[in-house]
Amino acid sequence: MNQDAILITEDLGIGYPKQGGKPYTVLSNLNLSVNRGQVVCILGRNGSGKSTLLRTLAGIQSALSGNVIIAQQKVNVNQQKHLARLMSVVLTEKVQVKNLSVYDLVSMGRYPHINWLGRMGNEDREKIREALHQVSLDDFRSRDVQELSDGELQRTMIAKALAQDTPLILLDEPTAHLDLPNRIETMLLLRELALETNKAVVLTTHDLDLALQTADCLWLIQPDRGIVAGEPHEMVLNGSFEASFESIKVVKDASGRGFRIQYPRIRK
Amino acid sequence: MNQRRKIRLFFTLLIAGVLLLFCLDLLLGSVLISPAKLIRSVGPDGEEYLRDILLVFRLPKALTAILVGSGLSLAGLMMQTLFRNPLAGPFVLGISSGASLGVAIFVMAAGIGGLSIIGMPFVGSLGLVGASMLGSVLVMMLVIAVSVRVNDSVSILIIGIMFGSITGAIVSVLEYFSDPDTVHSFLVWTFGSISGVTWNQFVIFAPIVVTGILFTLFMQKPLNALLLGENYARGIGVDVKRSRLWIILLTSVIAGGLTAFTGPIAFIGVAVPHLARNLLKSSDHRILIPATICIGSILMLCCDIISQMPGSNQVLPINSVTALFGAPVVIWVITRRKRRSLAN
Repeated sequence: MNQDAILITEDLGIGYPKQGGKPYTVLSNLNLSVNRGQVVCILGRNGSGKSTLLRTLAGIQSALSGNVIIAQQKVNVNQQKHLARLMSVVLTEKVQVKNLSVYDLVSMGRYPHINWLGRMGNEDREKIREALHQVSLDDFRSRDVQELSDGELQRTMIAKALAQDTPLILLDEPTAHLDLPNRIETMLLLRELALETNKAVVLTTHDLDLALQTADCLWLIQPDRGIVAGEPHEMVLNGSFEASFESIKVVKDASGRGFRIQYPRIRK
Repeated sequence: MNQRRKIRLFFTLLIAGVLLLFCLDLLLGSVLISPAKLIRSVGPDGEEYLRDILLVFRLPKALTAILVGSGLSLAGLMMQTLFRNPLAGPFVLGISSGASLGVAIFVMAAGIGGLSIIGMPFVGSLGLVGASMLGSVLVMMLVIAVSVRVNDSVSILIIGIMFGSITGAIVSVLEYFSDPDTVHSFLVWTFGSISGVTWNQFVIFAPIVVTGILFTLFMQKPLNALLLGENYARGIGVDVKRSRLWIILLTSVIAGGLTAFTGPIAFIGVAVPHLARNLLKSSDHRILIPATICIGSILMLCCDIISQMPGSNQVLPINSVTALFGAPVVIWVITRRKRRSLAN
């Protein structure tokens, strides 16, 4: 077994159980792995099962079959407290709480590590301070969460995940709702975090361009064929990338080393 | 850490307020007692009737006011956080409807059967408590049975409201077939009352309610996590299903235990959590739980003093007082905050 692998799926089947009937399977027989320090982007069209896969990996919904193994331990949906020390999640749900400061929100990332009273020790406070620093929100600690822009809120949620101090971070569409500069900054931030902290980052996204440039590994969800995994340039060269998305082409960029998406010509 | 000092000052004021109003509640009533008389009455040469008024009537009543105020407010806070709905209160799960169904059956069904329960004072008051307790326990068990099966808070909320509608409908049918006198005595119960509580009753429900309140202190972490939504709460290691069950259980025990003895006391449970959040400008349950307990006690003691109409022999129904005097306070606090935040 690969010692570096932090997340492994064994014949994983994902989907939705139906009461008294056959379950609705979205994807099955998934055998994937993520190493420490890697950024993995899950790509696919709307409704292809990206979020279902991410939620299953996160233990928010149960797998239909197979196993998810994190840090050599099988994931059990009913062991939330244990899971929360192995992985942290950033979801698409918007947090809407009045009178909650950035610091208080980020400090909730320490919940799996502290007792029922919620009393923070010096180590906890240090982790929170460090997390805020990593997402450059040092001066935002007493700001009300409701007053943040979408980009700042996303960074706060990433800081919460960092404060949780887990070897694996899962993010569901972290770049949705953001403007272009914020999307680029968020992806670069995640890329840097993976390099610096050796955490594994798994995320779903629709930003194909950014994914091609930042990811170590792509998981392409192809209609009827399941998931194809591989390094970005490999996926482009063997045609898997274009096969996953109709109507787009990938071409070499100006430098000749990377790739960019070429959109079909638009008539005006 | 200016914020921390502000919160400490606030709590000092709140606790002082509770103590002050508790004393006032003992002194004010149809018979006005001066502080000097109060101290003398406890001594060996105190006047017998004053000691009776204080120890037999006013002390259990004031203590009940504190338990009702803090218990129902805390239950309301938990429901608002669990359902992420600012309109939720301690009775959204149908507990008070269950209690009123129990009492309605006890009072009116007996009346239809040709028995007058009201004519028998001892059986009357004991039976009333028993019937309302039975009703709320029954609805509580139904709601818990449902919430074990349904893994979705919104569905539980809707089912709770449906239970409330069903019991409400049955009560209406009973009212329709009852004679005006019986309906009236049922109505009197729905007004709520904390002045009828005796020591014998107090020693039954106080331990139940206090235990419920103490256990709520253990819930602050899951409650805070639930602010972010159930999925995020799972993500930071909270067992959402078990926490939800505990929250529902504690709310039922507190609200059910109180309603059985005091009748359904409305408004407090919905309003006080909003007051606490607005006055302390916090959503952190480590602050909100003690704040809700203090503010709830203060408001309920105030309402009790007003309802006794000091110096007169009349008593206003407590349920009218809570809303009549409490609602403007809530409106004032909320609009005051809005104005200030616009100015900034």
